[in-house]
Amino acid sequence: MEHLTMMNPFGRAIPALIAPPLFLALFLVLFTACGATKLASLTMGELAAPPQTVTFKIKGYYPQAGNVYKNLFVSNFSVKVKNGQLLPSTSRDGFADSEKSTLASTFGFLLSSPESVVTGFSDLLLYNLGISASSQANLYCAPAQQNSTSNDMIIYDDERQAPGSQTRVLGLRDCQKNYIGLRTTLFDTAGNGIPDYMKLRCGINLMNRNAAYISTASDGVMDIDKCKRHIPLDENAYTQPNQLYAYKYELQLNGDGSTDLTISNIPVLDNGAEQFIAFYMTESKLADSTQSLYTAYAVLRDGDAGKVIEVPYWATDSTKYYNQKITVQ
Amino acid sequence: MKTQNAFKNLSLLVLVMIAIVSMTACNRAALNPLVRYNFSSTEFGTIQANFCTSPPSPGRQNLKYLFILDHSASNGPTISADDVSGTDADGARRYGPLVEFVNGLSVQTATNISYGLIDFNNTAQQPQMLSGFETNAATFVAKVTADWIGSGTPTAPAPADSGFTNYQSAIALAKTLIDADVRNQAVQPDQQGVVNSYVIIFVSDGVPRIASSSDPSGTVVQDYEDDIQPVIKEILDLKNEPTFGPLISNITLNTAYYHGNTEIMGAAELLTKMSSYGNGQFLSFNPGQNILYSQFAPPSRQLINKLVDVFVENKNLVWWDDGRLYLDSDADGLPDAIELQIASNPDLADSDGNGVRDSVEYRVKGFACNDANCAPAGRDRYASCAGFNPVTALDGSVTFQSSTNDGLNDCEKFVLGASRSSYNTNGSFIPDEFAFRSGLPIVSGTDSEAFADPFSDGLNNYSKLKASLPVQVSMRTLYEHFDQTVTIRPAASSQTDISCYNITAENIPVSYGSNQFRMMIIQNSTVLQDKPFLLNAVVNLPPGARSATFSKDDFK
Repeated sequence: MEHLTMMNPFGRAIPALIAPPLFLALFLVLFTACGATKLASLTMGELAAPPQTVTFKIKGYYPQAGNVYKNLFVSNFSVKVKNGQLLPSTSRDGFADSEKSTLASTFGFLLSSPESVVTGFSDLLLYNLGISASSQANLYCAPAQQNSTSNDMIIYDDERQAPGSQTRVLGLRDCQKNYIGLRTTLFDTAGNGIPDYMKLRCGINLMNRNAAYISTASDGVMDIDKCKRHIPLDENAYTQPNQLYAYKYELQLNGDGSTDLTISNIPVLDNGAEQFIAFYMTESKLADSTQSLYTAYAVLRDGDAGKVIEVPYWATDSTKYYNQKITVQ
Repeated sequence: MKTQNAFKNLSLLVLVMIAIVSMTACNRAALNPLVRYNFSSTEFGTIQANFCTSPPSPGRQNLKYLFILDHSASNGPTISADDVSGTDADGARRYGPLVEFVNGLSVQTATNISYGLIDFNNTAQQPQMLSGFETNAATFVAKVTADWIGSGTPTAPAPADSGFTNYQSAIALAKTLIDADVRNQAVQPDQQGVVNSYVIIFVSDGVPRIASSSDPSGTVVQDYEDDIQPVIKEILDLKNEPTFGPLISNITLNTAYYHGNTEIMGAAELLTKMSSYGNGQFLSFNPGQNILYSQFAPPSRQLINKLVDVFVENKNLVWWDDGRLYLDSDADGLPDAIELQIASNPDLADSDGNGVRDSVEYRVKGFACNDANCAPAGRDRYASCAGFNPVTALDGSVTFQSSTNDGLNDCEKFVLGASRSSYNTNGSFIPDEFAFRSGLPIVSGTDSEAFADPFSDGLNNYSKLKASLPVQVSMRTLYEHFDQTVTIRPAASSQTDISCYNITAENIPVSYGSNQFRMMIIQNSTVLQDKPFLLNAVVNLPPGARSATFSKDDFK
C-alpha cells in the first residue's frame, strides 16, 4: 500500500502528522497578518473567560394602544464592565465596588447604597457633578421633590440591608432633575429614546440628542448600541472581553400579533445571586411621537445563572406600568 | 510515486498561491485605486497619540441670588416684653451677614454670579434704584449697605421697617424680575447656551399679614394654598416656558425664619411649606442669631469631562464634489486642481489676503477672489467683518482672530452663518471647519444631515468622515476605497476624575506633497450642560515621513 506523503516545495517529505497543521498555521498567520487592522487589540483587558449569563424572554409584548415599540434597555445593575473585566457593583448604581472605594476619600461614598452621602442625590450624579464631601452640606432634596414625576426611577427594598433601611432608589428624583436643569415631566430630555438615567449610567450627555448616535470609541458602533449592550462607550466593541460581555437582543413576532423579546448573554456574577436586572421599555405615540416609559426589575437568586427566564410582559394595565417587580420562578 | 509527485506539485502550487494572495492582499502598494481620485500617492500614514481628558471644570452657568427681605414693622423696636416684634431693629441679623456673604462670593471667579434684592412690607419693591440683577458685587454691597443704614448712620443703622408683611407681593415681584432677566438673556448672542440657576432666599420674621381690603382697620393673613403657592408655581413654571425655559437650569426658593423670644404660631410651618414647594431649604434662626445665607448657597461643582469623539484628517487632501480625493497644498479646503482653474493660488490659503480663505469665498460666492487674478487690490474687504478685530499687515493683507479653535476665523464663521462661540454650530459634534471642508452643512438646524445616509449605502455622513470617505457620493460608486481607522485604548490614569487613552489612527491617506495631520478630540460633560469643546493636535510631516506622534500636551 502506497503511503501518501506531502512534499515541501523542494521535494522533501513533510511528515504526514504535521502537514495539515502546518498548512493551517500558514493560512492563519497570513490571514491574521492581513487582517490585523480590522481586529481590535486585546491588550486592554487581556483575554476574558466566558462569564456566567442569563437570558430573559419577555413574552407576549404588545405596545399600548396608539403606540409603537421604540426601544428596550435591559441592564444588570449588579455588575459593571470596565477595561475588559466584569466587576461587581454592590450598590447597583453604576459604580464598580473598586471605583466607589477609590472615590470614598473624596466623596464619602459607601458601597451599601446608591445614595450613600446625600439623601435624595445619587452618588453617581454627585460624582459627575464633582460635588465632593466638603461641598455636599448645602445640597438638599426637599421631601416633595423626592419622587419622580416622570416615573422613571426604580424603588425597591434591598433585602441585603437591615430591616427598616432597605428602601433604595435607582434613578433621578425630581430634585436631582431640577438641580441639573432637566424637566421633571420628561424621562428622556434629549428625546432620543434613552431614559435619562440610563444615559447617566452609560455616560451619554443628557442634553444633546446627537450624543447617542456618535461612536466615541471610533469603532463604528454607536453609543446608544453600546449602552444597550453594556459595553463602555470609550472601549472598542470588538475586543474579546467586550464581545463576550455584550448583551444580545432579539424580537420575534408571534402569530397572535404579540412580540417576544429575548435578551440573552446578560453576564451575572456569583452564580446569579442577588443580581439586579432592570428593564426600561420605551414606546412612541403614533399620533405625536410622545414617548412613554415602562419600567420593571428582577432580582435573581443563587443558581439562576445559565437559566432562560421566561416572563410575561409586565405593563398590561396602567397599574403595572412602572417599577414592576418581576418574580423569577 | 506518481501520487507523491502530484502532492509535490500540489504543495508547491498551494504555497505559490498563498504567496501571491498574501502579497496582493497585504501590500497596499499593489493597489491602484487612488488614481481615480486624482492624486498619485498610494501610501498611508499613522498617528499615535496619548491623551488625557481635561481636569474637571466648573459648570458654565450664571448663578443668580435673589434676596427677599422682610421690612415689616415687627423688625422694629420691641413694644412690650411678650411682643413678637423687635426681631431685628438695627438690621444686623438680615443685612450684616448678607454683606458678608456677598463679599465672600465675589472672590469666587469660577461662576458668573449676580445679585438681586427685594424689600417687602405692605408691598414689594427693589430698593436703592436697583433694577433686576446686579453683576458687580461691590455695587450691590454698596446698595445693600445704603438700604441697611436707612434713616440712621453707618454706626447706628435704622432700616426702613414699617407696615405689614405681604408675601404674595414679594414673590410676585421675584417672578417678574426672573422673567425679565431670562427674557433679556435670550436675546443676547453671547449668552446663548449659558444656563441660569436662580437661588431665591426669602427672609421673614412673621406670617403674611396684610391690611384687610374690606375693613380699613383690620388685617388678614394670606392663605398658603390660595395666595402664595400659585405665585411660587408661576416662578417654577418659568422653567417650562418653551422659548427661554431652557436657559433656566434651576430655581430654588429657600426660606429663613428669624424670630424673637416668642415665635409666631404657624410662621415656621408656612415658610417650610414654601421652601418645600420651591425645592429649597427652610432654616430657622433663634433670637440673636444672624441669618446664615451661606447655608442656602448651592455647592460648588466641578464637572467631569469625558472623551466624546475623535476625528482625524490630512488637511492636504480633500474630497471634492465629484467624489474624488484631491491634493490641497495650502490646506484651505479648495483642491489645487480647482484653484488652478479659477486662478487662485494653490499654495496660499487666502489668495487675495482679505482674511477669508479661498474655499469659503468659493463656496459662498462661486469664486475665491473678486479680482480675476486674485490681485490684492481687488480683494473683497468684507466690511461686515469690521467688528471682528481685523489685523492688517504691512502688505495690506488682513487676518481675523478665531474665537473658536475649529479652524475657521470669526469672519469666516460670520460669512458661513456659523457660531462664533461654538466649535460645532449645529451640535453634531463635528468641528465646523472639518465639516465644511468635507462638504457638510454647518449652520444651526443641520445636525440631522450629519447622521443621514443620503445614498443609502450603509454609511451615514458622520461615519464617512470618521473613515475619511467622501460624503458627496455613494460608496457604491467608489471603485475601491481605503478605510481610515481610529483605535482608542483606555490607559492608566493617576486621577479618578481624569481618563487617559492611547489613540492610534491608521490608513490616513498621504499625498506626494505636503501632509498636515490633524487629530481633533471632543470632550463634554455628561450632565448639567451640553458644552462640548475641541482640542487639536496638528503636525506638518517632514518630506517622506508617514507617521506622527502626539503627546497629551500637543492637544490645544
